[in-house]
Amino acid sequence: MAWMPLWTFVSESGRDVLKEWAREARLATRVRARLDQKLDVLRRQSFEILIHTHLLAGPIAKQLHIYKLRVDGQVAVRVMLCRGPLPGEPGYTLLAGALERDRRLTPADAPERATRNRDKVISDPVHRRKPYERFGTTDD
Amino acid sequence: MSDLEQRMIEAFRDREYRESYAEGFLNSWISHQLTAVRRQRGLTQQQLAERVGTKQSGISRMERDGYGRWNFSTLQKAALALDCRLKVSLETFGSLLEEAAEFSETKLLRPVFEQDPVFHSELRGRPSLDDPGPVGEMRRKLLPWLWNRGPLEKLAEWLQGYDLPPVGDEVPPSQWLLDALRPDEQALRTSLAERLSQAILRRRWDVEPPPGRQQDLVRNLLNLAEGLRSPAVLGDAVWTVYQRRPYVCLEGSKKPAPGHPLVGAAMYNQPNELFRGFWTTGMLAEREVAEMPEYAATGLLGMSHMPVPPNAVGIVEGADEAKKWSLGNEKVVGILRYGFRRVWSEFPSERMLTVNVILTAGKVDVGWSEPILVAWKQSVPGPLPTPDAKIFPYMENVVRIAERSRFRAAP
Repeated sequence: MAWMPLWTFVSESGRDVLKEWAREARLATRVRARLDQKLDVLRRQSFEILIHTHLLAGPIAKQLHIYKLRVDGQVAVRVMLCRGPLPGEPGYTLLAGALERDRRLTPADAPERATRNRDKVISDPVHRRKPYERFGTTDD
Repeated sequence: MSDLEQRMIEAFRDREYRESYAEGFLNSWISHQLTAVRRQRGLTQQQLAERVGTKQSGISRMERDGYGRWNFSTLQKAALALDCRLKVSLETFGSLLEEAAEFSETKLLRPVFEQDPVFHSELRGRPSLDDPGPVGEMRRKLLPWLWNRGPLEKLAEWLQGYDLPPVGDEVPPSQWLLDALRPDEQALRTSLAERLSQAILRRRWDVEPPPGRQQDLVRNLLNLAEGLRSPAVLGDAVWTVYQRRPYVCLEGSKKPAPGHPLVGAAMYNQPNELFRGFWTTGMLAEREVAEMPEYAATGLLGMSHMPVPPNAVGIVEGADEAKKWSLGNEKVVGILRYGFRRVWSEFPSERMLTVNVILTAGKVDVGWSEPILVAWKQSVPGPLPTPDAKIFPYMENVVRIAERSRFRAAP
């Protein structure tokens, strides 16, 4: 089975917002490793299994297209993403990152941001996303 | 070596990174394999729990990606309950790269003892190619193609009716492929489902089929998807293709036939209950599908990720989707018209809510006004009902814009 395509949203100025978020959130190496590992599973497993095993949750209330990738641990990381989103397109696009504590997201508006980012990808898929690169150990 | 693998190797040089990755991978592997093998055995979580001597909630927890509090004894009981042995082994980090790259549902499946080829000589080695007759001939074509991972174009050829056994065309091409595999050859069926999945995902064949055969290709491709009954493998591919593909997509076809295999395959392969509900709605409305503009049907049938019945919000979301995907006003009108009719006849209590929501949408995006009024006039007898006072200005806005655009609200 091939790897599902995976993209990340980029800002208007061309910055990878997920990597930027990981840097701002000061994700430790072990958290980045766990995040990369879950994203690898995301690219290999069927959507149904991902939902069943709770690796993906959603769609999030009021944000019909947004799913939440759950990476549990001492720091609970959540990545907001969508399928596609271009017509007939396989794969996923990572749209926003968040940390979760006591069921509260930081930033709290991550799902709404994700929806807005998804709309931007749809309107300009060439410039508003790029292929996912592993979070790796450092911010390069 | 791919760029992805190279980056992974670089990251693995960091001890903390590789140890954390390995721990996460182990947890994912166990939870996903428990899920895959339990389903392969046709067991529910409750049934497995009874065999293991635990509660259903315990199995549910173990099948959760991220669960890491494994109990050796419970795992061993679960393995035996699934007719497998538990293997614990110390491995190098290097081997993890390959395991991670090959992680997939099919890699996780395990046969029961009765189907283990080591103990059953009739299952040993490759399946026989000696069958007589045309089915055997198809088998001799298909199996080597599966073993050698032959080109997808070959599958396209078969599905268009080329290179099949020369016995006339009473049997559809998809049936030849299904007949070539025996019911107990689950691994081969899964393998074919995987290749088909790749073909569906690719959507464009490297060699464009001749125009006359396009129809056969689509019909047989989806018939095969339905016949293989392998939703876990095909679900994503079919979902992706159905997501917003032109419904039916057969050249020259204006009215899809009721019970078209597209709908059947899509329904069968829905990845979860949420989607299935919406498809079922589409199925129930089949009699209306036939009179809908085909692209309106696309919009409705394609909105499989909408967890709402066709109420006011659903209609607006659906039409909004259609607009986002540049399906054009004609198709937006089709979706709205369909929605209006259903709400009007089946959900009378929602009529006013529909008016309110739709007129509010008209306020948000004035571009909505024209399709709303056209659809309304075509679908609902009589005048527009009076909306709630607080949204009345929006309605005025809609009517004003509609008048400017040559369209008038019903008197």
